[in-house]
Amino acid sequence: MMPGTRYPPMVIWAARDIQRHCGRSMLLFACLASLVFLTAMALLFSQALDATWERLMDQAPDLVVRRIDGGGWAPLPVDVAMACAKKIPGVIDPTPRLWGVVPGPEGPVTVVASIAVVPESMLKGIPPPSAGQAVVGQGVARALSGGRLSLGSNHSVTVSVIHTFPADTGLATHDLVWMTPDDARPLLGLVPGQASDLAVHLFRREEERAIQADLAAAFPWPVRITDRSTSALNHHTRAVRSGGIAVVAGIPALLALLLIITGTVVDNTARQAYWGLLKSMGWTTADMVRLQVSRAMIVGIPAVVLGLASAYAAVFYPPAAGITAFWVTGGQHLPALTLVSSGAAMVMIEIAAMVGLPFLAAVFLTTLRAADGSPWTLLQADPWN
Amino acid sequence: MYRPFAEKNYRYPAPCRGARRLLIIAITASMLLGIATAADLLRRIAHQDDGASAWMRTMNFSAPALWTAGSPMRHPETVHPGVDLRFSAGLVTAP
Amino acid sequence: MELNAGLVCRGLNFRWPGKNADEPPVLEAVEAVFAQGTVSLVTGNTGSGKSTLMHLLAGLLHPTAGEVWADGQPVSRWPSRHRDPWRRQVGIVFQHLALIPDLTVGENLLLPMIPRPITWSRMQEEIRRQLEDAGLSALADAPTNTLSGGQRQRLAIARALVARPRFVLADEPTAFQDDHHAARICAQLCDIAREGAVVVIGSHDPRLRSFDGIDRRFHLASATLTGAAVNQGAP
Repeated sequence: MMPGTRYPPMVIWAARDIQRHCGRSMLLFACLASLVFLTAMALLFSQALDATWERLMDQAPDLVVRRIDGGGWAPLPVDVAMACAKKIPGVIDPTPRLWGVVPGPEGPVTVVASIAVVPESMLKGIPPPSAGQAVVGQGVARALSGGRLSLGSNHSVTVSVIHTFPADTGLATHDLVWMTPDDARPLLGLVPGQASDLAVHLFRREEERAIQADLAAAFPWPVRITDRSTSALNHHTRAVRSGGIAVVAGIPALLALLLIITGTVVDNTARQAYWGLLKSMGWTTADMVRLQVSRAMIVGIPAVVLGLASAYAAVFYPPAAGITAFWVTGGQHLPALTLVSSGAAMVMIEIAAMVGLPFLAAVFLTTLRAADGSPWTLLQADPWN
Repeated sequence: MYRPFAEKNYRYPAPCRGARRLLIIAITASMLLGIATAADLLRRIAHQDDGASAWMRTMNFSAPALWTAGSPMRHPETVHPGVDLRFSAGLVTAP
Repeated sequence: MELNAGLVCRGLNFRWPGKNADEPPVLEAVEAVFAQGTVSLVTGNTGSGKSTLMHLLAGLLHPTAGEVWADGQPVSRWPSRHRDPWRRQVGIVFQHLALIPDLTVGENLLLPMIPRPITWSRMQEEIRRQLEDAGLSALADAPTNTLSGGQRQRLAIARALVARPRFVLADEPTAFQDDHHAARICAQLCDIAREGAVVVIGSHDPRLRSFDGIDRRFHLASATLTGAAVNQGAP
């Protein structure tokens, strides 16, 4: 007794048909895969960047209050600022921040000093810096020589680096130098009792616009208040625009796909005699559509899956993600990204549908049109007549 | 014992052996790639990196370190209200 | 036997579309019964309309007037969505053979089997049987374009018979055959008829006119079909 086969004969015959037109099928495969890759990479990247931003921004203070004067930003007296902020209903946990951007060995770095004690559960083995010490991010650690770091230009400070922030915290700590307030103040041009600005959390986040006026009025000097929603909106607009621009890069591949589909239509026309022969042997139009759709799926599904998987790897696997970011965002030096994957599945399904469904529809319609003729007429288009 | 190509021995007159291999390759490759991607996606969703978020919260950062230090996107609170980035198309990407 | 079993032509007319009405039709008022279990031979000069008649019987062409009935069903009236699946009961041998040259011999025989609801193993069994009958077993893996003219014609006949059709329409099935193979093909077609199929052969091969297995002979001339039964003992 002969063994059977696990696949329906129609599907086997569709694969045999692909073998018969190997070059065309390979071209179609490459075109579909590259189209999916280019589109998916751009959209996945902008979506993932947006999601990551949103997740991280969820932790950011609702409002940041900075003092301004005629010369620009001015240091903020901590005690006065705290007292003023606490008077406003709805404001919780106002925190003075000591931070600033200072020149480092290989470009600007963000210097921070925590006035409050960082809880032990956060540190996870990272020793808090003492006087003359610093903990630095991965981006700063790369530029170190001999474990010492010199910062600043006018008031230069040299600290010894005692630890590096873990790589998985890079999205917050990549360019960070964490030191004691006493070491940071000379760098930032602050005296004791002063802070760079005031971070404010609100009881109700949706009140962040409404409360700004009260807060501004509560301080005895002019202030500039930045809210989180504005920053998030700016970023969202930017991410969407980056994604859109990158999708435009896929247009050549889209044109190539159209060319291939046109080629498939021409191929179908040339295969009219084949369709006529099949009809004369009892194949129905539905059988032929099944054959062509099976053929399209045998080529299309692996191409789409390969395109999606490559795009996924390019976006989510550092350092490939860094290269993608560099390309998609137009040359910014981003840290190695570890992006949030929630929502990525939906984007991938959307792209598979966006490319796969029109392709299958084109195959379906052209086959229906080519095969739905009289078998005798179809047979006349053959080389044997 | 299961032998995937056992029918070779029976000498089918129209085996379409190459076509069936192509089919096996297409199905296996698609499934492997699909499963690997889905598994990685699920793993990432299950094990979100919370380290960055925690430091964001602890240090009260206004924005993540996605842009270089000193750039307006990195420190939105330092953008002076007099500088409206809407009219500075090239400036938004500058450090 | 069913009263209307077989293929029946009733007042069949055919004229090529676009031809002038004053030009003579290809077929005119053709009345014929091709009964179940018989072999019918349609003879006629080249261009007399034998192939056209075959194509009308196979449902590949529409008659200009009149009807083709198959087993009591007016198949020529049916829309294509019904006639296409009905054609699974028809095995047609084209005069020009219509083989796919880049497929192997076995794969050409697979073509009519693919859309049928039978298993892959059963398909292979049927192909093996048909290759043995056609004397082509050793060439199952050979590409069709490497076969001789006679082998190609035997392959075309095998393809028409592989799905055990109820109606077999063979257009010049012995044109490229030597006497031995021509007799073998005739015997094969007779066997099919004896198993209950309707066999119609269109040919001007003189060897077929004298073949004993033919039950009815028709002659097509001047668009008119005339004929008579010769083997009265046939069912």
